[in-house]
Amino acid sequence: MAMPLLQVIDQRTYFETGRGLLRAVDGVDFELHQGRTLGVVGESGCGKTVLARSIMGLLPSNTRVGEGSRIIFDGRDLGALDEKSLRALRGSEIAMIFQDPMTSLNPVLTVGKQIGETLIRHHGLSRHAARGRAVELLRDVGIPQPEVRVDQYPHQLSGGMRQRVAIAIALSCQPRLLIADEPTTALDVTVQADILDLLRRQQIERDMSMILITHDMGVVAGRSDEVAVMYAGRIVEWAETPELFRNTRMPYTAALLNSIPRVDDPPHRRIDAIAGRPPDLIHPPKGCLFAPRCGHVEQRCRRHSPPLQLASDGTHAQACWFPQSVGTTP
Amino acid sequence: MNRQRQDDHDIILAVRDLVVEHDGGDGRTVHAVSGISFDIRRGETLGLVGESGCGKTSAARAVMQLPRPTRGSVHLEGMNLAALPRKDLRPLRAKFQMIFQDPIASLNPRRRVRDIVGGPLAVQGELGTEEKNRRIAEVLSDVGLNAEQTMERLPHEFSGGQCQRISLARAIILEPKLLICDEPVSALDVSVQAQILNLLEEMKARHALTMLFISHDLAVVKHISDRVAVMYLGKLCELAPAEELYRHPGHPYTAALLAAVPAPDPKRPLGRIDMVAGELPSPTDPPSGCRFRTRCPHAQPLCAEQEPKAGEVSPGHTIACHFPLSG
Amino acid sequence: MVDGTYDETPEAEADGQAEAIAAHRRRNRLGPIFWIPLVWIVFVVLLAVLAPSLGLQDPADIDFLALQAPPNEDHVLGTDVLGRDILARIVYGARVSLTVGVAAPLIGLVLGLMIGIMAGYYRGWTDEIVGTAIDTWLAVPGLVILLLFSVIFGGSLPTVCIGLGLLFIPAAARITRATTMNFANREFVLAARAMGASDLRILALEIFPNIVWPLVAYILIAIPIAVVIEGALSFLGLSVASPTPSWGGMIAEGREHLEETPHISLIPTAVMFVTVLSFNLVGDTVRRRLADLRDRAI
Repeated sequence: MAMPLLQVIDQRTYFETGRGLLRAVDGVDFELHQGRTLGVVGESGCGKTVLARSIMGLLPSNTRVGEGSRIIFDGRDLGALDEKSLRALRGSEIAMIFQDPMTSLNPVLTVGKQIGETLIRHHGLSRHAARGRAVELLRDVGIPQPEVRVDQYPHQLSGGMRQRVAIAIALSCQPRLLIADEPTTALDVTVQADILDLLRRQQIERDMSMILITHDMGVVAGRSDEVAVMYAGRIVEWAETPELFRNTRMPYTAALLNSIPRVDDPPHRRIDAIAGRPPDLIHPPKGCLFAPRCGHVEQRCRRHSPPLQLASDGTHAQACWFPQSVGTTP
Repeated sequence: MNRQRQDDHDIILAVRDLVVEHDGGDGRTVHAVSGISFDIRRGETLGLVGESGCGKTSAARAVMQLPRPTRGSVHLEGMNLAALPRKDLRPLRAKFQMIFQDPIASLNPRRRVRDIVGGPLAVQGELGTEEKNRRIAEVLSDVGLNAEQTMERLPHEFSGGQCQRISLARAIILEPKLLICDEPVSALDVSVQAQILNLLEEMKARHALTMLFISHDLAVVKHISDRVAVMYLGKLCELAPAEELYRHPGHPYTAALLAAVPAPDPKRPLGRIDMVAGELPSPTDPPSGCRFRTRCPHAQPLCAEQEPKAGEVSPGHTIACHFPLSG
Repeated sequence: MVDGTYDETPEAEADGQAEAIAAHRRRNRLGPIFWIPLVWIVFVVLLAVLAPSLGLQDPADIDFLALQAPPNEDHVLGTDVLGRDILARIVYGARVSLTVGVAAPLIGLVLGLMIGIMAGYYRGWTDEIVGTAIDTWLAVPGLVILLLFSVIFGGSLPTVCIGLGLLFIPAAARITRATTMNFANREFVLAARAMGASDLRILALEIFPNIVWPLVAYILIAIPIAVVIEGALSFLGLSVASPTPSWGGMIAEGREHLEETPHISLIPTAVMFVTVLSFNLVGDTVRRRLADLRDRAI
């Protein structure tokens, strides 16, 4: 098999807080190949956003990264690069889209200037050429009348349009990896579907790799090749998307799927909520971190932490001592 | 709406031609709600769905008389709240309560849980301290909190889900008839959301509540509602029993909304949203005729000229569209 | 940062809490920059309060044998132009400075609070009237107001406190209005209205506890300002009338003789400088603490 585009090895990202060391990401390993979309799913505080920022190298000053943690992009160890080479990489080879397009866009620059800025800086385009390219990109991301929109300011656009602009900026330098952190959480449901389709289409057309971070299982279901489920700073289950939904093995994933209300359910069906709360990441309990909330818990789970184990066929991995084909309620 | 006469005594809330307008700041009027009518029967949950800016929150607040609607009537058990003088409205407020979207902002950060939950008792009742404390403890354990451990704490010591439980305790302590829920689970994580939805169903049964449940999430609304109303740009598009609406959407907007819901199932084909791309028109200058026509794939010239009237296509299923979808 | 909040049970928090609080205390220990000024303030306040029972000389007593005397056995800090004991005058002057320094901002705060909370809560025409009134009030030069006050009502201590207090109204009203507006739109206020609470109850129980800390922070800034202004007023002869001693007045009396006997002006100047600086240093620390508390609560 070809070398993966991105390799994350034993990533540990801890934060120093007033109460102690917070283990936001605690030993995450995965690989992502060219042209694939990985969905990263989890609830607030599971570490999915911190993982994305760790890959981008955008972490606050109170961060401690683990000794053996490595992020290897296209054969280069990002931890060994100096700040200047990292900056060159960001925005050109790795691009990111954030949840709130209002705060990620600069309010005092026109849309065209913001798209053109990266082109001029990273690719040395002339001002005129950059503008032409900006119009093209706006057309690519489905913005009507791109010649008019290119001279408008972010506040003149709706939320969905702003997120399209953010995508155009991210795509402007032909990145090889696109990280989308909750790109549709702030948007209405009809706009969300459009934006997700746009991202998926661009990813396939440009043969990019994409990490799609979300709290919504429904978002990754139709728009990713593989899914990693995170809980309390770790990946607890990973599989090809259809496999994960068909053959759920980790009880947390199953519980998460069961707690989602579905349009097909009859009204007033009682939802199987997950009891309890996620663990304290400053003083995590011993053993499997999901054990206190798990319906299939055994003695061993409370004593030893299960590693992420890959099945022999290489398509499914879970961090669970007693993986089951628990499936989901129909 | 042509509901049958014998049902009338069962109707707890009757809203007629509700209009909410406010000043847009630049001298223009924002038409947040433009004449909606609906009934809620005793013991049922009416879901109100729509996207941001459709006026669902304005409608809910107008029912609460916070602020009062610009025009129209809101009859609660036969009494028109919109026409009552302030001093007569105040004691009636015990009968209709509300919970909000932001669990943190809806609790005063400087007051203890005991005072927050007991607030309505202090305002409305004349209970003694001991009796009051007993009620507070009772209602806290009702919503699944340990009364002893929570009473003396401040809101910031609790998680979002727990704050929402405290809000709910405050809303039901006076045993209201009607509970209005404005996006009560939108700010919560999936697993917590499920807990709160189950809790709402329990509370509804135990306290004989009638609910108006507002949300942008169609799956959540279907889960909790007996009937569902769909709102677009200040107007009701469609109102039907929940199953009926989701199985046979008659308004093109309802169909588009349903198609857009991301299902947690890769086998389900991604729905194509049948809607003209473009912006939501401004509520300061809504389109003539049917408000959805600028984005409707089936729009005809008639839609621009004439506003469609709500018509009943089957018992209890009304659609405001000149050319409703069939099947 | 980490995405979102953590669900923590109050019980689970307890074990890590004691240790965390200890660490927090260590990090935030108050240094000499807080304690030394505080000790000075307490010292000055005690002197002012206990002045009559300290066995000092009468601050109005004139010692004809020791006009403009430098510090000596009879007069520890020397005497002024009229031969009055400077130490006694400093101590009695502190009573004036501190009374004005605390009373004037308090008067401004109470009035500003009432005006600002109305404007911020009711908005609309109330807000417009208040806004216009404040703008008008600010357009009138403060010195002219104080001059008129002392001409009409005479230079007594209550007059100075009230006159100066009026000048603190606009800032207090604006701070109150802004913070009130910030909280008036929160859903907990809506919830209170939904339960039928009266406006008075909402203002007192829901809004007031949330705006009180910004106002305390404001008072801490206003006290040293008031002390300085009172000093300037005495210097101009617009504060308490002679022979009641005040720091500003003492500085003024000594200015003609700065070359021969500088101590007459310089001693009260130094005392005022140290006192104002102390108030500022203590106020800064307390305000930072309040802001931390607020951040943690919201």
